[in-house]
Amino acid sequence: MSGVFIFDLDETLHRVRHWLPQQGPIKDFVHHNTLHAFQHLKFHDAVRAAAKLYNANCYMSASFYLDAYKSGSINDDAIERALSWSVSTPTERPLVKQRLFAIKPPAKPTGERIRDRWQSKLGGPSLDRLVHPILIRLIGGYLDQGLSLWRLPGADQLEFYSAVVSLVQKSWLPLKPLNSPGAQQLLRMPANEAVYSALHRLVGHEDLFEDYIREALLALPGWAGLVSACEMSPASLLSARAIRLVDYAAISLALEVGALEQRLGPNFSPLERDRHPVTPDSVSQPTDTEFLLSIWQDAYEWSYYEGVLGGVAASTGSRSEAFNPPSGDVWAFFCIDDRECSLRRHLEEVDPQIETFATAGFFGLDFMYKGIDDSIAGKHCPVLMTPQHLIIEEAEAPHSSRQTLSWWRKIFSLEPEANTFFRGWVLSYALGFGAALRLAASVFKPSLNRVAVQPLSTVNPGARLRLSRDNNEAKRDGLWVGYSISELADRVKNLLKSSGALNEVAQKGWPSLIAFFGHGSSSVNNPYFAAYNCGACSGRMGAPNARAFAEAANMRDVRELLRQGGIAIPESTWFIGALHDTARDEVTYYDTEKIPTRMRIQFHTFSQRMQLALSRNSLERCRRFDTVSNDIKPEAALAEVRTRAVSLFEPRPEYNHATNAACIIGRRRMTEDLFLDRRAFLSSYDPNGDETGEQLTQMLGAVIPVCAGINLEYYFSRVDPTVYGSGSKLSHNVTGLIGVANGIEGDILTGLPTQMTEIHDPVRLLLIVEQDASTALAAAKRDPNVFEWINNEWVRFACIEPKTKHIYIYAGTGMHRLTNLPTPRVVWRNSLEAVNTSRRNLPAGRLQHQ
Amino acid sequence: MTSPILSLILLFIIVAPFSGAAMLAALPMRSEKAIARIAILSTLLSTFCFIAAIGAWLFARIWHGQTSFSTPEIFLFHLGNYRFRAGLSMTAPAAAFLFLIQFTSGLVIRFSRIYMHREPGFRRFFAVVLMFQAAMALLTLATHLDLLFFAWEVVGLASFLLIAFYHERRAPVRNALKTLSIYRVADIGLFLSAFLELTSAHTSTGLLLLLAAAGKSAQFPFSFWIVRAMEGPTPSSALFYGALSVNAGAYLLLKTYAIWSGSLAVHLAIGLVGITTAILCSLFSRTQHTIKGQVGYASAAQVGIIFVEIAAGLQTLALIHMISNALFRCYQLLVSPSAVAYLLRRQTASGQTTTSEEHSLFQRLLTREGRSTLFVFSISEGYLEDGLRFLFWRPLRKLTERLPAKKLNFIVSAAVLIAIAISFAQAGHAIASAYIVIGLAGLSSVLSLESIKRSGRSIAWLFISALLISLSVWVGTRTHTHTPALFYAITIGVVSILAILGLNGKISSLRIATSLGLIGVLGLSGFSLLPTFFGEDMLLRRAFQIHSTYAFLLSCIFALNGFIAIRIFAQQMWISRFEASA
Repeated sequence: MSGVFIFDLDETLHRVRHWLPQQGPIKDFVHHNTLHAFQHLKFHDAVRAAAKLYNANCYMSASFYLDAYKSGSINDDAIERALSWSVSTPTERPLVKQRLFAIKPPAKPTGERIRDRWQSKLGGPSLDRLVHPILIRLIGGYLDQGLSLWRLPGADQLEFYSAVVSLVQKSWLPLKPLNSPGAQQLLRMPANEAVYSALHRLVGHEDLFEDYIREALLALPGWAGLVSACEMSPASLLSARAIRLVDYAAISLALEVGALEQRLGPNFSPLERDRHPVTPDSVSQPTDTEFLLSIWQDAYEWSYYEGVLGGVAASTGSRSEAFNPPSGDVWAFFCIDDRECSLRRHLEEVDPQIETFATAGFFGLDFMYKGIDDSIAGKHCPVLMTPQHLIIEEAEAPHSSRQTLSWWRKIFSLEPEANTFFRGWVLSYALGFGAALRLAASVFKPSLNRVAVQPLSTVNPGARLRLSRDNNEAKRDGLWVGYSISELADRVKNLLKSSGALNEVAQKGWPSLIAFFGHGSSSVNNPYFAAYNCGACSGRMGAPNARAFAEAANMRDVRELLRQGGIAIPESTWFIGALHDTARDEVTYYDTEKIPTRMRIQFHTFSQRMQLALSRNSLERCRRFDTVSNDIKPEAALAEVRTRAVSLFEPRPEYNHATNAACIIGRRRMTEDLFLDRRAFLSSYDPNGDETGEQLTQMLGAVIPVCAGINLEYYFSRVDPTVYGSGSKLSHNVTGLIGVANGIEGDILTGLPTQMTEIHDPVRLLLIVEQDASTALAAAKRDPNVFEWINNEWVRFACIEPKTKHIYIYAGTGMHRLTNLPTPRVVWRNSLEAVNTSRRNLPAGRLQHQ
Repeated sequence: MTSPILSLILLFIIVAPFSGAAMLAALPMRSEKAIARIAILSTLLSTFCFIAAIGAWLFARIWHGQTSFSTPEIFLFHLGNYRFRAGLSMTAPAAAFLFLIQFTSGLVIRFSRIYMHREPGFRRFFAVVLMFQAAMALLTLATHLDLLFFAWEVVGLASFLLIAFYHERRAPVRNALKTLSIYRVADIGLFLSAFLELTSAHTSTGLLLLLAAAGKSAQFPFSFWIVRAMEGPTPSSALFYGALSVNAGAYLLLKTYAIWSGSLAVHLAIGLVGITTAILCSLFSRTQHTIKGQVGYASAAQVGIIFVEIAAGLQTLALIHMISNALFRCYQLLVSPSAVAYLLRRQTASGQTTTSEEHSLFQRLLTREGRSTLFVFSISEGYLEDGLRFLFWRPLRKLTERLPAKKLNFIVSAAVLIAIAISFAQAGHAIASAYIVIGLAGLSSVLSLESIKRSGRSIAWLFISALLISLSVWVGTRTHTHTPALFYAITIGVVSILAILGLNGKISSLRIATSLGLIGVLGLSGFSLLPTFFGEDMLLRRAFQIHSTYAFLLSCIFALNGFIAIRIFAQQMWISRFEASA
């Protein structure tokens, strides 16, 4: 290396933070690509590079794939297909196939780490063991959002570095190891200089500084990632903290210097330079085992993909042609969530005249929402969008505020005050017996519980929304309060257009009732509650969105504007908003008193049908729960899932996205006679009328980040539960209200717990678009962010041409035609028959709808 | 009143969960349903017997005015003059505490049936919890301290096994060993006081009981282990460190009230320990930023107040407080995952986002310096762990580093010293020679610790240490028979062989190897009711005839050996596995 190396701290930290986990406070848990830092590499290269950096597994174990082959989950055709993509010379393929079956378990890739060299110098405990306990206490005490009674002094006003320096300097007692002279000298400097000087003392040569900081931060990846995430989006912390990654790095390195001084003496020598700096995303050649495992993974995926693609190609849309409904019919809109895919199917089976659609669960309405019991507004649209509007819920009548808890509720609570000296002393004489009764009731008869904690950001049926505004109303906190009529009309029109509803209207006319179902989930004793809610609403319930959309579409002024724009919604059509609680399989309708009298009967009939569909849906869900017996009636299944949702001891209230595998964008006729086993995200889209693919680009831009994020989060948490996932839920300890850790001095755990991923089959998302191959590819290329996912094969992009039913998949350079796809082998009469087949993930099968 | 039926009922309260545990440990069951059924049946049977016993006790109380009834005493073991008594008795505090045990164990078992679903170690979990329930019941009902000590040790073992439930990770194993080391120190207290129970040395007995109780109940200066023990599944943390095992120390003091209540010094000591703990642990819990840490220290603080109540003689109040605190903390820990949703809901509802430190009166009285000092003191947890490490662990470590590297030298000099000792003994200086040899035994233990990574070698040094102990007692009491020493030496030999067989990795079946290894190391540690324990007991009695300081030294070495034996097990079975995979 020639020239002078100039170390730039800001640049370095900017690069280093890229490698840290991106998980913020757990109340806003969002599924995202765990390996987002490597997204610019091709999937298999990225997996290997990440495994080296994070000391994780690349793929599932060899025995997993061999067992899958034995049990029939991987078939020979899939292996052939995988080989044909990975091995270019056809003659080599049989040899490689032989080696596949003789595969040996791989060793975990160990990158050589600079910091490990301290171990031999220190002898006994490692550097991490000396430094981490106190570092965690300091950063935990600083970032704490209301769990501990005493935070780090000055946490409210000062930055982390200044707060710690102030603590150490003002305290009369020493805070080991920051009381060593070297550490004290560092703490007298500002944070940037401290980092620089500390690195000089620890590592001799500047070109290794970046590697050292990266390794030091990745020794506690959860905390470092949390610090970085909180710095990038400070609004995610309810109690604001001026946290910066440079502060955290400074304290971390000062602690290291202090600890080393105390063990090795004040003049310990820095580490030698005996290697070049590494770039984590450098692509290396795969070892033989890694190569074979990648082929196994591809084969595993192809075994599933072939089934779905074959099923989609063979679908005839028979149901849509068979039922040409007269007016007086019902449409239902759901979120694209894979859990709704089964409810749609059941609803259509209960009443074949109901048409269902799916669109992202925020229903085109991007707003911040402040419910009547909230003092802080929450975001109800996808994470990447920045809302400009604020919707407030107001009371119709004087509202008995739930803000002040009733006195007896306060007692049986987790109030930290119960853990103090005096109040704890007094309370602990009496509380125990009441707590015992409550606990006994919760454990022995959980169905008596109501949902213990009222969810955040939800709709209160007695209140109304401030949805529309006058154009002259002032902004609040930089947000418009409510939408203007034209804004509402635009959003309603866009949604109806992009979901293909308008084309249906052109063919069949308007229905009399259009229901919009947002979704959310209620559970108890579950720190991951945000992960169960609607991802399109940033981890919140979609109830306000559904309600707001229905209200907007019913507004006279909005309909007038739409009529002028060419969309004439008749008087006989009414919109209604509702919430589907996916854990309890319960639907709550909003503003039912506003339904016009002539439609009440239709609505009543519809809600009864929905109730039946819900009980069948819960039956389908119960099949995955081991502790529920096989022969159970739908009503019993419904009671069972509702009990699960309120049981303290149930760590699996619902399985969330644990079976996700595909995302199908197109018309319902493509999927309506397929049994997809709740594994597919469905999004309504009509290729007719989108010749340029512009609408498709928009849709991909909205759908892919959410669905691929979910898919990859589950994928990586399944592949390596300890590094990428958060291990078992049972030992989790809620930390500072911002995360969970193991024990009291543990790293913040990122990713999903095993209880959420254990039934997940780790396959990458198969995205199927109903569109011509060239249009689809052009649509994907139009948005570079979208195209990165596709081009680097983080999602597999396929399309089915509407007229010819030919299937194409994106690989390498362009769309390739796929042939020899199997038609679905299994045929069932209806969902209930399918459900009774087996408890495991079922392949895509045909439904005959009789 | 000693009706045989009632004795049987009392016995069954303990035998039911114990046999459930034994069944689960021995039979290789895989069906969760079957395992859960056995667990629930065992605990139900135990509860049923408990209710029957309560009924009988109340009947006896109301009609005959008796305040307690007991089973007849039997002797579980005797050799020569030595007898190990066993008997159960039901008293008022026992009834109350037993209610707590049955209620919380039953609740946690029911809770865990679903909570632990699909968790590897499902069977292991229920086996250990049932074993724990049986041991706690025995602890409550045992008439004499001998049997109570056995129950005490089983409780310690159960804690160890459940803290290290996730033995694939470093932190649980490390913290389990840390907790075990404290338990061993506490056990010295109980072990010695079991001897002094029938003597008139009330103050010493009381102080030793206080040592045992303080260790088990996480009182000063041992408080730091309780938050580190929260590594196992939440139900086990709730049961052990919320409810039962943390109150076991206080219960011990209540149970033995008659023994030490005459001595004012003991009252003062208990009160002092209690109030110190209450103040310190409340302080520590304030800066805990994890929910289990906060509840752990808060629980220990309340137990401190219970100690004060006991010291003040307010037994009934202490009992009520104990039960109420136990139930409350158990509840808090079981619902601890709700903390995020609950506290966030509270904050977003009220708009108040912080439990502001400015509002506390106490905080306002302090200067900035005072607040910082208090914060540092609190997050350093009073430097208790550092202090204890400095007092106990560092000397040990220094010793292991300074011992001659050439083992041959050591053996030669040891042989010489032994020869000197024997000649001393023959010349009538029995006590001096006993001290010399026991010193050598201690050094041998230290050498065992130093070579801990080679399990065979380590066990060999432990065996040598045990032999030297036997020799020491023998030379110190030349006038008596040498049966105890011989007995001890032989039994230690047997368990050493078992341990080596189990741990050297030559046996292919992991289950058999683990079982053999565990029995072997438990034998090496003199786990109660194993033959080696009786050997240790007999030796200790002889030791008291030499000198009480000598006896104290002896029990310290026993405790150390016990800890090292289990450490060997952990090293071989768990630590080497994850060091290999790292």
